[in-house]
Amino acid sequence: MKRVWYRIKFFFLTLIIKLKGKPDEIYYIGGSEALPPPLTKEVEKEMLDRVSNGDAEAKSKLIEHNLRLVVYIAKKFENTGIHIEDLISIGSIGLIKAVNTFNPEKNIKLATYASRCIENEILMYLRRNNKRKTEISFDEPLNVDWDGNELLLSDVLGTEENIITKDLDLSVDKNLLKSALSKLSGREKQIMEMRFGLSGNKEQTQKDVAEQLGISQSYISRLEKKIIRRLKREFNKMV
Amino acid sequence: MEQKSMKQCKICEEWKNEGIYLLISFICSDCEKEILDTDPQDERYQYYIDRMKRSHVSSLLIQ
Repeated sequence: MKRVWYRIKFFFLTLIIKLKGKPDEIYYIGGSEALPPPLTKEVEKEMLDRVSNGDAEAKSKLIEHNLRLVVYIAKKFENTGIHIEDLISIGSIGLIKAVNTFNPEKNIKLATYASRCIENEILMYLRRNNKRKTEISFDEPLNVDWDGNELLLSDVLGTEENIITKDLDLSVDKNLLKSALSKLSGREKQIMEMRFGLSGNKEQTQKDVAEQLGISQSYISRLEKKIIRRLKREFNKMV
Repeated sequence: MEQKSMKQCKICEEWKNEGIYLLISFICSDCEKEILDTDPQDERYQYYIDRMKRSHVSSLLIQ
């Protein structure tokens, strides 16, 4: 039944072409084996010469007689989830690009060059498609309420309120701390640096600091509280 | 006479003289140039795929 339908379509399309006066013979319906066959080396060379002189008819002939390549290569990508009609359209674009950019002086056959162009065109499209699959639009609807109002991704996305000032605040706090620490004695400053990992050091426990300074842990604890109270006073003076 | 040789481009649907044939589909020189300058990454690319599909060339080729 499908075959009959294509034959009917073929008849009408052939008729249309004849009426429109397209001069060349046509081979293409009823199976890819009926597509225009590859051109002989001599004819292909003649067509390429004519194309270099701007002959659009020769260009069409080169494209049409290499359409088998498009079908063959497109079918290799059928398992990618892209519809075969799309793949053939993409492959056809690749073929058009190939015929336009082919340089007969280079030591490569047109069919080889066109195959690469067609495959490359399809691969580039697939790459773009895969990339897009991982992207989500801000307008992506997440849910729909009873009234049909959509809850969009952009409705629930937000940022912290202080996202802009956070880094600035941190920088100011660091400067305040440095300034307050400079008011401490050498020993007090050393204890704070060891305990809280200041100046790039690693944080240490009261016990570790006490052992290194040769004093008791309880004394370190008392000193720490005293130093922190003093630092608070210094901060209050500054802000 | 001039009018008679004009063909309707399957991409832009305008009537033009110059262009190429892809089986039954005529593609005018302007659209051909645009296709050559369009990469699969471009937004416009999908438009050309859809237009080519509408020309039925793809469906004919997959028989």
